Order: sequence, then C-alpha cells, then structure tokens
Amino acid sequence: MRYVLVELRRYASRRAVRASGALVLLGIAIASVIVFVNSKGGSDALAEMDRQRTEFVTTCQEQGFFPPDIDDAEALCREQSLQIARDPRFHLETLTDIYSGLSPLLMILALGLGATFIGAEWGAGTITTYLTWEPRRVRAFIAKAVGALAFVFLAALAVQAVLGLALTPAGALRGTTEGIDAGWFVDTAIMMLRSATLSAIFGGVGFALASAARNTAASIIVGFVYFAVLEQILRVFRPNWARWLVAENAALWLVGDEAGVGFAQSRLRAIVTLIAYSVILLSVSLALFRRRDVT
Amino acid sequence: MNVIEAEGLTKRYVRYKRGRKRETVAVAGLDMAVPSGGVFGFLGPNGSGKTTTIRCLLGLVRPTSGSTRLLGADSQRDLASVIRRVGSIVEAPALYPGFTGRRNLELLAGIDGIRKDKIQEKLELVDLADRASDRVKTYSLGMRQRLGIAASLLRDPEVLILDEPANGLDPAGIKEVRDLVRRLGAEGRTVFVSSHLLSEVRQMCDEVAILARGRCVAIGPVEEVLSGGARAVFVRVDDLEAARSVLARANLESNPVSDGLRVSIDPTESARVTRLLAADGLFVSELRPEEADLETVFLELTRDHTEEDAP
Repeated sequence: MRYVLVELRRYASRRAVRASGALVLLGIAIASVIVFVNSKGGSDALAEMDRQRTEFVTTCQEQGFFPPDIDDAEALCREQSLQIARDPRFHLETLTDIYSGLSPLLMILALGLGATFIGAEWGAGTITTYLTWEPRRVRAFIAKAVGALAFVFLAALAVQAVLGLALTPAGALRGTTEGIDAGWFVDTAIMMLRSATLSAIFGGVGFALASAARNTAASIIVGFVYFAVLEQILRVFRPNWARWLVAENAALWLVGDEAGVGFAQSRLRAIVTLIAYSVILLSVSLALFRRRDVT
Repeated sequence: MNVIEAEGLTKRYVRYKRGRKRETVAVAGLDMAVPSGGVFGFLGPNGSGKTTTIRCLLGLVRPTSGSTRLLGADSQRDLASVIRRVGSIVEAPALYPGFTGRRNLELLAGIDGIRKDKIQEKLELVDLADRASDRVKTYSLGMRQRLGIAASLLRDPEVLILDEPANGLDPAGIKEVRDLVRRLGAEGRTVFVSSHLLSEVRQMCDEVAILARGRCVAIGPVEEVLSGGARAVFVRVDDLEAARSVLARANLESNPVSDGLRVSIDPTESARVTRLLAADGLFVSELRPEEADLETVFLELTRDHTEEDAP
C-alpha cells in the first residue's frame, strides 16, 4: 500500500499530469461559461419557443409535411416541432448523457496517462533507481500498475465531478433542474463510475503497452493504430467479431442496449471482456518486465 | 567478511542486426571479492564490464553464468533481504528532472517510510540543502551526482556502490565527490567505486580490482598493486657511463633517465647496486624505488591479459 501511495504522489507531481489537468479544467470552464450564456430560462424565451412550435405545427399541417393517410399527423408535427424549436434552457438532467459522451475523451486521455506513467520512467532511467530500492520486480510492477490505474480512476471521477459542479449554475440559475431526484443522482453516480472504470481499463492498456515497449510514444501509436485502423477494418470485414471489439464493449458498458451495437450482449459480459483484455496485456507486460535485463 | 563477491561471472549480450546474431561478451568469468570497510576501486577502461558487473550485483541484469553475492545474499534470488543495507548509483544518477531535488528524495524515502528529517540531513551532507527546492533539470552535473549520492545514502547503507561518480564532473566537482567518498569510507562503510580514471582510484581507494575485457587482472591494496609494477630503482651518480659499465658487468640493465640511471632491479635488492658502484669508487647521491604509477601497472596488466587472449 505504501508503494502505491508513493506512486500516486509521483503521478500527481508529474508535469504531464498537471498540464493535462490544467487543460481539462480550462475546457470545463469554457464549456460551462458557454452553456451558462446560451441557456435562456426566462419567460420571454419560453414564450418564444412556444410560439415557434405552434407556428411550425400549423405550417406542418397546412402544407401537409406528412401524407394525409398517416394516422395522427398532428402528433408527428408536434414531435417534429420539438426539434425545430428546441428548449433554450439547459437541463441539468442531461448531465448523465454528458458524462456518457465525455467517456471516449476520458478513455483516450487515460490511455495516454497510463502510458506516460511508466514510459517516462524508462525514458528518464528512473526505473533503474526504483529497482535498486525494490528489486522484487513483480511487487514493483504491481505497485506501479495499481498506482496508475487508481490514479486514472480517481482522476476520471474528479473530472466528471468538477464538470457537474461547473454546469450546476447554468441548470439552477438559467436553465432547469426538472427531473433531478434521488433516482437521477443514483443513475448519474453509476454513469460516473462506469466511465471511470473504462478510463482505468484504458489506463491499464496504455501502461501495459508502454511498459512492454519501454516507451510512451510507441504505446500511444499502437493504441491509435488499433482503434483508428484495425478495429475499423475488423468492423467492416469481420462483422461477426464485433462482440469482441473494444469500442462495442465500451459502448455497451456505458449505455447498454441503447448503444445500438447490432448484437445482444450483457453489460457484465462487456466489462468482463474489457477487463480481460487489460489483464492479459498487463500480464504479458509483467512477464517481460520480470525477464528482461534493465540496461 | 566479503561484502561483494563475484564467482565466474559471465554476461553475454546477444543482439540481432539485419538477421545476424551478434554476441558481445561484457563480463567473462569474473572472480572478485571485496572485503568489508574502506573504499574499494573497480578500475577498468570503458567497455571493460564494470557497469555490467554492477548491474548484475544489483539484480538489474541476469548473468549468463556464474553468480554474484551482495552482503552474502545471492543477487538474483535473495537481494530483497539485503537491499536496505545497500545504496547505489548505476551510471548517471537517474532522477526526475522536472521534480525538485527534495521531491526526488521524498519519493524514494516514501518507499521505505524514511522520515523527512533524514532527507534534510542527507541534503546537508552533500551540500545541497540550499538548492533542494530547485528542479533537478537546473542542477549541474556535479549537483546531480551529489543528489544521487544523497539518495543512495538515505537508508544509511553499509555498502555503497557508485558507478563512475566522477564522470563528467569538472575538477572542483571531482574533488567534492572524492572528499565525500573518502569521508563515507572513513565512517566504516564499504564504498565500491568504479572508475576508468587511474588518478581517481589512487587518490580515493584503499583497495583496487583491475578489470580488463571482463576479467579481473589484479586485485589488492592500491599500494601493493602499484608496487607490483615497480621493478626498477632510480640511481643518481656523477659518472653515468662508468656506473652503467659497472652495472652491465654485473648483468644489470640500466638506462639513462634525466640526470640519473634507471636500473632494472627489484627495489628490495637496492643494496646490491650501491655495493657494486661503491666498490668501483662511484658513490650514489640518491637512490629510490622507481614506482610505476597505476597507469603503467594498468597498461602492463591489461597488455599481458590481451596477449594471453591472443590466438
């Protein structure tokens, strides 16, 4: 546990981590200001929205946007009007969806952070110093990997919490808090945990690749080639393999059947698949770390 | 008791270049024992296998054959049981350049739960307390080296292994490190220092092992190893030519050097030279063993070794 705490302190002191954190905070600040400014919860804005919707429904019916033989064309026009004249208020309730949409970004960031945690050690040669303090390589590797995963998990939770807090004024003061109840809090907390879990898994993958390659950049390149090229190719040429692809399983874990991945699979199986990938990569990386000379 | 031992230590590196297997023998059957206490020099030219030997000792590299022991523990199996009694720097001290000197030490100290006052104590010992809050990347080479030594001292080790601690330092830095190493050796620790600088080893060390092509070619107290090459005496007389002919009749080889003669004879037999010359009325005004310096010894030993290796 002491080793893991040392690793957490080390990661928190890293300039790359602090720079990434500062960029994320800046992004959150900008986004929350934009949302705050664009959210219009006043009675004038709502009246204008109602007027536009009513106008659209009238036009829709008069000009026959939908064939007259369709049942309840008016209902369809009303449904369409929700898209034409959107609610100008920011709904704090949508935070859960925002977290879901933020997850891919967190996953990419987690892959890079996981990679740099160990890659930088090889680059600076500090792994040699570390092993002269703790020569038991399995213990050293596990401490570093657990530290990296824990850091990425906590960082992902923190980013989501900060984003939620930053968007709260827009919802409370210039938008709406409709739908915020105990159930919403539970759903949102679960979504945050799901997203943080995915981030930790991706952090583990980045860590394993960088440890095996003894290099941060190599790990990020491999990750990019896999997700941007290989998975795309497999998706097209081997559609039956989709249930084994990382992106599909990540989407399933986050939003379940709504992910629309084209096959039936439980969330549990999706997360077990992803954890298995990460564990396999970490195990291979550990075996190499144990076996190879540190020169 | 020997604190460091190597027995038949061999390390071969195999690399593949353009499909061809290339084998490099870094250490070739090294046998060595380092006694407890004092400063022990590990001398050899670049590429002679010093760093590889140290890496084997610290469990960083697996030997191809043979074994190393540190404080009696096998480096490949039981190192963890003694590592807290060992401090080390392998090649240049590897530190986080973006962290302050103090932060670097704190992170290492955290592994063993070492108290913060110990960090301050070690920073003061290496004279870095004033710069401890600066980032390591702003440090000079000498300061980094001193910080590395401070890190290796955090555990108050019985054995300190320093790989080329004077490498890249300016004369002032070399002196600082030399004084520090001497001080540490005088405290009762065993300081194992590798170097390719003969003068450094001579000034710093009590004992020395000389490494050439991965083998130990000489080991012992520095003065003993040094006198191993002293096989001549310097003789000052007025009439050099007459003295040379007297010595030649006694089958002693002599050569004029500056204002005297270099007579090839074991220094312990110097009396024979004075007797011979005095018998012919030639009186010696100065006679001293002509000590071969470490460089000469080193070159002789390594040349012998190279000749032995030749097919």
